[in-house]
Amino acid sequence: MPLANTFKALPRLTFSVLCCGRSDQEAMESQDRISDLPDSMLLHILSFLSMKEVVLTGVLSKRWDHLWTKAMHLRYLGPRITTSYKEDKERFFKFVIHTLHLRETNPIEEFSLDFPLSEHSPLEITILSIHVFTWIHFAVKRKVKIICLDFSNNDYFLRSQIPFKLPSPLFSCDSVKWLSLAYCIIDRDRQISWNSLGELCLKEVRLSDDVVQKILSGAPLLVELTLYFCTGMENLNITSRNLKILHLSLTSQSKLSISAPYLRTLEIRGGVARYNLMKVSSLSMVKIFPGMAIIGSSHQDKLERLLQSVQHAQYLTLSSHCLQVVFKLHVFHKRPADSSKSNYKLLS
Amino acid sequence: MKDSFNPSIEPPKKTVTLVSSDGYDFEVEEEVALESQVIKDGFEDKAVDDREYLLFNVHSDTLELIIKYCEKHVSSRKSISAAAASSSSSNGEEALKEWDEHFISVDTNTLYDILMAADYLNIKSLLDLAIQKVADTIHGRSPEQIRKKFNIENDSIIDPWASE
Repeated sequence: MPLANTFKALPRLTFSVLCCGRSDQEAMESQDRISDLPDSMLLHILSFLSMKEVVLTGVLSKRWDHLWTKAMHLRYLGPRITTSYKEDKERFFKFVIHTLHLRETNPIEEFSLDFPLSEHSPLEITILSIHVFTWIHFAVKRKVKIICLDFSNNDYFLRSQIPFKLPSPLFSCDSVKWLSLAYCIIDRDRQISWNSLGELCLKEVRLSDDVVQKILSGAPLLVELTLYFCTGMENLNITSRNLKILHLSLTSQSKLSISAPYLRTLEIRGGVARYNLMKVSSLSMVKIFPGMAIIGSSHQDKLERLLQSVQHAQYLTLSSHCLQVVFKLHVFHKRPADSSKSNYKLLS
Repeated sequence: MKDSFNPSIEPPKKTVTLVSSDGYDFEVEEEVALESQVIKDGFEDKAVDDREYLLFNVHSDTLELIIKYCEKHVSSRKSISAAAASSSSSNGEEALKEWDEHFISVDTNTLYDILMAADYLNIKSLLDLAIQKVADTIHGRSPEQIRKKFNIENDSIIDPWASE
């Protein structure tokens, strides 16, 4: 053993005595180590829980007493449809108001609301709207960065016919970076200002071409856009150089023409006949998942057209449903000579 | 074994020595040690022959686990990017997720040790993994069950759940 190493070992011995790792395993077994964690770490733990669970930690011990009021990720789970739905709903409204009030001016990172909408009377809808208005207003004033509002109801028999009309404070929120909305309506006369927004996800949202243009011009920094089962669109015209990624899934009745000269990644789901790609010259990655829809001969032309409009893409991912069509069409033989570096991925 | 006659094939891997709080030396590859943001910060300023880190807060038992985690993540990152370059399909990310899940399924004490070490060494992905695990433990439990699970002594004056 070299001499230097022997010397090096000396100070280590000293500190190994000073900082004994865990000499008494058994004593630690019964020790409350979670309460010794710093506030920042406990708040990090709370950020993974729903608000009800977060508030419940307030009764654990004195250490946890006021910690929850500093939680920055507020995730509220609304009442489920049960026999006590009316009472549950009242209780839920009170819960949200009280917990928001007790937080005082502590900053908010995330405000999420999962409220399965069922058939409501006009009065009930008004009451819900007023509540949601107040909560969103509160969150926007505290510079919330993540907003997630989900009014979809998995139970189609119980779901409300009319989606939820989003409140006005939501549309002038320049702090929000990540926004997800489900089963709601965006008024066509809203002015939109989402100057920090980087990622937007809309599911089952009633849109129109005008509203989409308003969103795109109101969110100049948007990088990633997801539109799943949204209605009312015919043309999607993306001129922003920032928007690079687009995920699309259309309802069976709708058709969409897409012009997006700077788009890099496109993922489309559902019947390929619904999509018409116009200007997509910058695309480098394309993913196509027709789902369970059987691709009959009438769809072959459509798929061929689609594949030809994206033939410059470097990466192409297809689900196995496309396979037979691809082989029949020999799309690959029609590719330009410089496509040798292209990559294809076939999912089974 | 590496071919010592032809060193140009692959240069010997550079290593870093990590010393645990109880005095054990761990020699690890440079890129594995660099998973820690604390080691990464200012790594270039350190002389090559002085790349030794005394980790006063990390016991050898924990350090062994941490190194195992970092090694796995470095190697699977490589294989995932290799798979992407050759466009062969890989389920690398899912396999890694599964591995993580298995890795973090430890007793509460070990979990805290990993949590504290990941925080001290600033390994973000590991810290998130450990914190998620603690959150999962709280999830769906009553306050009394949480207290029991974490040995929290209830020192509040009024306990509305005491009668339950």
